[in-house]
Amino acid sequence: MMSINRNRRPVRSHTRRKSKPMLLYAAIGIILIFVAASLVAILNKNLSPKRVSPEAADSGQSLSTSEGVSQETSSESSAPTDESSQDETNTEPSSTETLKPAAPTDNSYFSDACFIGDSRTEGLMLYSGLDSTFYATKGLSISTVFTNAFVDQSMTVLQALETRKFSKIYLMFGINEIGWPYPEVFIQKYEELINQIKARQPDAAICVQSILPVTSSRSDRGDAFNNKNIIDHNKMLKDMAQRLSVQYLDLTPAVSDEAGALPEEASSDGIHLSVTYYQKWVEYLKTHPLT
Amino acid sequence: MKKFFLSLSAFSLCALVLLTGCSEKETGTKDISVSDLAKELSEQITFEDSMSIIEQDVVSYLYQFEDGVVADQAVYESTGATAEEIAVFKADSSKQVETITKAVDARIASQKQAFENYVPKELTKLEDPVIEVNGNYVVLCVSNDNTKAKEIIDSYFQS
Repeated sequence: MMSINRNRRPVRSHTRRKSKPMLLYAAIGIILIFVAASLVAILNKNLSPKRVSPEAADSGQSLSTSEGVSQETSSESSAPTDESSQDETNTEPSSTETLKPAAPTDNSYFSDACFIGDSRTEGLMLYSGLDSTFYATKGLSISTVFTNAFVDQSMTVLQALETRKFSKIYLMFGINEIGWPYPEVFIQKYEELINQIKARQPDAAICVQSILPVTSSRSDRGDAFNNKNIIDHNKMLKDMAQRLSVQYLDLTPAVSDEAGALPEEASSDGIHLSVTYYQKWVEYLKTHPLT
Repeated sequence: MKKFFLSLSAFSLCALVLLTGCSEKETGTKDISVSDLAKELSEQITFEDSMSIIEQDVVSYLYQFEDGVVADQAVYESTGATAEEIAVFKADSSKQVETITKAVDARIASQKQAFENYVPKELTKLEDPVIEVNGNYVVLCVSNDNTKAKEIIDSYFQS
């Protein structure tokens, strides 16, 4: 169409006054239609519900590579907020004392944190609202963590830790190992994991979290999943943390009743937490920043 | 001249309206609220575990969605004790429906792998999940009551 008009231009030069404006207006009209169509496309896209939060959008790559919930690197997120608390426990990143309460941090504190663990840590990923990285899956144990390539369906946790740096690394293992006949093997493998993490993340503060309690009814069933066994394992974990100069956080006060058990209403199976209790766990972490 | 521009503006407006209309009628399927359907499934089916809605970025992680695939979504997860799950997705366009169904299949496969040596009894639910596709909508429900789930889903799409 355009070429035809161009070719005819000399011939129709005598009618220029009439034809040229018409051609010009037609061209403007076509441009306007394209502009309108573009506007419609833009409006449709902007008005449709958002698929991801801005934080997730910023870290879309990480989301698509199984690195957990979104990861937003914030330069001001790594400092614990309470100076006095730091003075109490912080001489070296290797402080081994049980973490003490401090002024609450906010979610940004955890943006450069990595949580490693089993189904309970996976639950934390689902319901915490934290923009952290989670290397967690159901049934992960201190043994299979070395071999299970579940991160991005191709990497083990240790391989994944070689791909990026974290300021804080929170560990929780134990509920799947509580029935092992030799608890010292559990500790031995835990130590091996921590040493391997230290080699890959020398600047990260590492925190061993205690094994969360189970409900009284679950504890009373007569198998290995009982709170006495969990307390015994937690003592060993605390000693291990001291030996390895990493931090230890006892989470029992965050989620337990007066008897030290997980309240019955906090869990459908006596082991995994309800949303409310996953959030209590997060709130406790916020008031116990690493040193 | 003014008349011409008035005509041109009117024409552009018509084009705008027509184009908008085209995009709305792309699917030819009844528009539903994904959050309403997911909520009703969570409330009307008897789940063994307590079900809670999860945030959108977590959904994207679980289902490995990239931008431009899902227009709207509502997903409920269990506490981790069971494989029970509700997921209602509206595709961004009809072309993305297949991407979503593949993601749902992959999620089921991943859950089977996770529960196989963890809580094997959950495999019963995962072997026969309800997966319904209606126009641009894809619905997944993993529960012990597939009949009820289908009934609720159908009630949303039947006019």
